[in-house]
Amino acid sequence: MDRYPILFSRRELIEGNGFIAGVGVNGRALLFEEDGDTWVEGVNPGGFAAKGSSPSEALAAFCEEFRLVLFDIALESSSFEGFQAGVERFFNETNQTALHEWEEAVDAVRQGRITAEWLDRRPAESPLGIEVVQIRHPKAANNQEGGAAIAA
Amino acid sequence: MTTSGLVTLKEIREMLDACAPGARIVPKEHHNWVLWNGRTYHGLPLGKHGKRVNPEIEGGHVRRMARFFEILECAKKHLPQI
Repeated sequence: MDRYPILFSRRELIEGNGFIAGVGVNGRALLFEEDGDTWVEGVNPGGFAAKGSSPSEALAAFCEEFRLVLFDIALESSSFEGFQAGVERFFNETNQTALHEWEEAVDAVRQGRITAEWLDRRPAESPLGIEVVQIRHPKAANNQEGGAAIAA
Repeated sequence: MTTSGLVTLKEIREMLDACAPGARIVPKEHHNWVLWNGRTYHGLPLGKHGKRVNPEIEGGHVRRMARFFEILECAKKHLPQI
């Protein structure tokens, strides 16, 4: 079964209790087929997944699930600092099972055993992380398009 | 298309009691959170029909959670439908 190592980026604006936060993420996920569905399983952040009937549908669902997790963390947080800590904890809880398979999949991409012409390629060593900032002065220039690429 | 079966929240609790003793399922607005061993799975669905006492959850999502907690082999013994 082919497994695709994905690097994804998103930037979300989240309303919290008394604050507005910008969340920018550079994460990694594993995409694969299982029982006729396409799944995207988070590696970092690791505690969620989504499925669809195609890779593009599954990736879109994964991004929507990510946003809903942020909504839940915002509901739990009484301050920006609490939200920031909760989001960073979420990102840093690595799915070790998926990480092992993600690294094997990167090797498979590099050896040419897996190809995904429908995705851009990015180095597997690309920086990962999540940034949570309080938005005090909104600016249109802060808007960023998200994306997904295969790690190689 | 085949899909893994549905699992009730009660069955998931029973599986966690056996495979992840001390785990807690905490319902939130958009997902159930599962807390165990200092880690949190944030993405267990609430169920196909929203918040109910014992909702049914798709087996594939339960499998994702079990992989996250590294309890998949044990979970499969208790929930063969995943």
